[in-house]
Amino acid sequence: MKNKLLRYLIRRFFLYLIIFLISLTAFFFFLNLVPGDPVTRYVQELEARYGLATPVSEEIIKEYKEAFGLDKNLFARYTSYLKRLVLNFDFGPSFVAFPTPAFQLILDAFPWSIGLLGVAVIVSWTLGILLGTILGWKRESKGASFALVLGLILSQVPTYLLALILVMVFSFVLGIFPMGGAYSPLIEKGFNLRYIIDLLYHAFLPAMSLILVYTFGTMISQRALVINILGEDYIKLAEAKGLKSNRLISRYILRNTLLPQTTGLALSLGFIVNGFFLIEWIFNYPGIGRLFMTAIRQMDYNVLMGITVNTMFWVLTANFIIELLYPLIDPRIRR
Amino acid sequence: MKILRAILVFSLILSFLSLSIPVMAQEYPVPREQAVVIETDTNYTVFDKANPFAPRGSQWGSGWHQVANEWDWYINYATGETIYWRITGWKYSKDHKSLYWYIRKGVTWNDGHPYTAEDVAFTINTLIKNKDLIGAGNVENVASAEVVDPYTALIKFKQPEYRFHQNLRMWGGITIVAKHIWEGKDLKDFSNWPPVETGPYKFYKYYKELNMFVWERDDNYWAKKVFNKFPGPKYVIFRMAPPPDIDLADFVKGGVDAPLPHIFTWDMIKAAQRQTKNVVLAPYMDAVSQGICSYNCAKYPTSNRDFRWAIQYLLDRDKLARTYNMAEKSYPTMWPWPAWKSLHKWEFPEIKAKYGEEMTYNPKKAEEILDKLGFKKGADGKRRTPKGEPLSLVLLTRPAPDVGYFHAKHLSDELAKIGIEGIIKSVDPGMFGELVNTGNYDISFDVLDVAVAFPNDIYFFFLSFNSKWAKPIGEYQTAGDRGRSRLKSKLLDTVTEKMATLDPESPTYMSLAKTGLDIWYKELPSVPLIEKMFVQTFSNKYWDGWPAEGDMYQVPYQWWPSFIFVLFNLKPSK
Repeated sequence: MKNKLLRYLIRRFFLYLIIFLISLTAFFFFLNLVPGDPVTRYVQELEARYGLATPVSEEIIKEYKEAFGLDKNLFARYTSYLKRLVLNFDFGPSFVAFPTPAFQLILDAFPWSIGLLGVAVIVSWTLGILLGTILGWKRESKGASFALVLGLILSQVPTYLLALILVMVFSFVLGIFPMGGAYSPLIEKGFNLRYIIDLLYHAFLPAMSLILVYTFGTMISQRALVINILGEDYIKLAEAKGLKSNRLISRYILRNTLLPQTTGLALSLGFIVNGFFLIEWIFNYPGIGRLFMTAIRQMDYNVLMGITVNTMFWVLTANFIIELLYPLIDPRIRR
Repeated sequence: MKILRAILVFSLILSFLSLSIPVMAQEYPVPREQAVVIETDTNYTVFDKANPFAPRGSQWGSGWHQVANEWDWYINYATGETIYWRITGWKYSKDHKSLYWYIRKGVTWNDGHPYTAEDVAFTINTLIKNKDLIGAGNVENVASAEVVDPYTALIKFKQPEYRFHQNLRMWGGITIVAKHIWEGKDLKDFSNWPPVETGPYKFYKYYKELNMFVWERDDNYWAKKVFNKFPGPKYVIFRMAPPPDIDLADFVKGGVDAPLPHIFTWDMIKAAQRQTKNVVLAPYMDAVSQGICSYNCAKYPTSNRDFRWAIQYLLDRDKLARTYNMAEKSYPTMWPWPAWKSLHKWEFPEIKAKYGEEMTYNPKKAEEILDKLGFKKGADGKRRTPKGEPLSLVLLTRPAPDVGYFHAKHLSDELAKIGIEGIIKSVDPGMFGELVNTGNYDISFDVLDVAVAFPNDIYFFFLSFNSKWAKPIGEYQTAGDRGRSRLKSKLLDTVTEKMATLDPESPTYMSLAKTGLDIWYKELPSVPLIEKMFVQTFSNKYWDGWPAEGDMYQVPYQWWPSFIFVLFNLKPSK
């Protein structure tokens, strides 16, 4: 049994590595095959914005192309990128904030995104499972039917649309939440209660844009799973034995829905990250999403690659960890 | 259930907390009534740097270019007036091999140090010595810069020079730096932070995560004593614009005083007017007119000038002006520059009489020309080239709602009516530049060349169409807007070269300008269609005195360095 489990883990790990390398390579070539280069674009922008009467000197263009490896051919760029990444964990200099390393910008933005996204995913997943279980359990009540309709509607609303609605209602009509930003400029940054409350207060609307949509999505799938399980013989037997509802739900129903729900979470992580990028832009939230938007506008290869590699790493790692957890959740996999 | 209850309680606490803090939709670190809030479309990534010589040496839209840094002289494009700001004037020697630059007494940097000829000479000599700095291209013809006395700089040229003064005007390309600050520094790395400049505002604070820069009025600002000019607002806040719908709601609430002028459509502006009386409208023409920004003159059939004229007859300027969506109205135009007062002198009546009538919508005439050129219709109603090949044109544009897209669509529809396929290729701005610069298109739609507007000198306009910029198709042209059409006209080149050696004030200059313009219209490498109107909106909830329709005392665009002249005019709203 131990050998089987070990084989399972090794197989999953190699698969994880292969998917990571293929995704990285695909994105590198996709990005680098887009016609044009950031240096030429930037020089044009410079000339247009600053009204330079004379074109920027060839020396500047040459120097920048060298700094970003744009003077080499595509394959040489790819191998040197891989080498740099694997040996030194170096993503190269950023273009939007040259000469700051791209990784530094990502590191600065990362905690904001993880804080917001982590909380939103955990809350929406937990809440969705709880609500879905209740809806499934009390499926014939009027309240459950109403909640189902509401959930069906809300789960299909794009997060960015919900974000706009929340801003309009809570910031402009009711005036109780700020329209964006991560904290108030009136409060000094630091590890103190006032600042922490302010951070939570500013994160509330962006988090709710994600939580509302994903909670209802999880709720609907959980309801369907619960209803399915309720028809099983072992549930009827447990009921006939006179088991209390609480015990029945926690031991027999919830446990059996956890595996598909965990898989569902793993699969939906990519979509959640996608939606999150737009949310950060709408709320002017200083995370990875906003940085990604900036990097796209200026074709900052290194920042784009850095964010994508990091996102791929985290999504794939989360999937990998979830797969590692399967044997714990479902003993059948261990056998 | 316990978890649910806990979440509910947490939400309630948060709501009460939020109610106890009186918030505006957007929070600011300084009293709102003392600050003017200006928007930019840039996500800030460069902090602690105000270095004009290095790429990424400063942050565009942070306010440094707008309210801290100044230029020696300005043109008020709204009135046509020349503003001698940090200088009292200039004088070229008779042979135009040197230029005397007269500095105004009393101008100081914000650290109290006087602004002198030393600063001018230091900057120019620095650029001469360091060819890899931004601005070095502007001093290629300069031999040296010397200090005659503290208030007179002497700039010596290698070859006679007639337009060097343009380099020190707003958007001129050479930013003068303080010698006492910059001397002995690594010019590419020196941060100059907090910036030592001569402008009316000093750096106060930035908020990286909030995309916000705050500038504080310099109480010792030199122009207060010299010109009695002093800005009304104590603070200027620059922030990144949120998405348009949120921005509009914030504007209505008074969260922003000067939003981006191209962020709201005309319908959105009308919606704002319905919700608040605090909307001030300042519709103004962009520095460029909009139309066919370039025909690809290196590619058949747009290489044929009669063909280019035939296409021109298919464009209905009146219709395009009526359907413009960024202002209440726009205007059809035949001029490749905006209808600014400063530029009226280039609109020669003879040229207007000769070409004004011709630049109209006349599909019949277009068909006549095409027939004459051999682009005849086949039995299927489709036109073919004289060699019998199918005729189709690639119309390059940016995606809607860019104005160019609607113009391309209009031409595509008109082309279809006369049997030509117009393939609209709408691509993102970066790709657009790439395709234009490599000559991979037939007709491109965008703003026309900006060269004439800022220097107010038509020579620069002709220079943009000089044959020396025209590279073969596929080869990248890196001369900015120049050479986009890849036109090769010996006649226009000759006129431009002659103009280069003439004083723009000399009598023969205007005559040559007229000849050049005549050649340009004959060649027609671009087609002006409409004035590109933007409605700059202002909120007068906190500040009054904005330029407005009927009182356009200054160009209203808030990202221009000339916006300091607007700030001088602002007073708190009553």
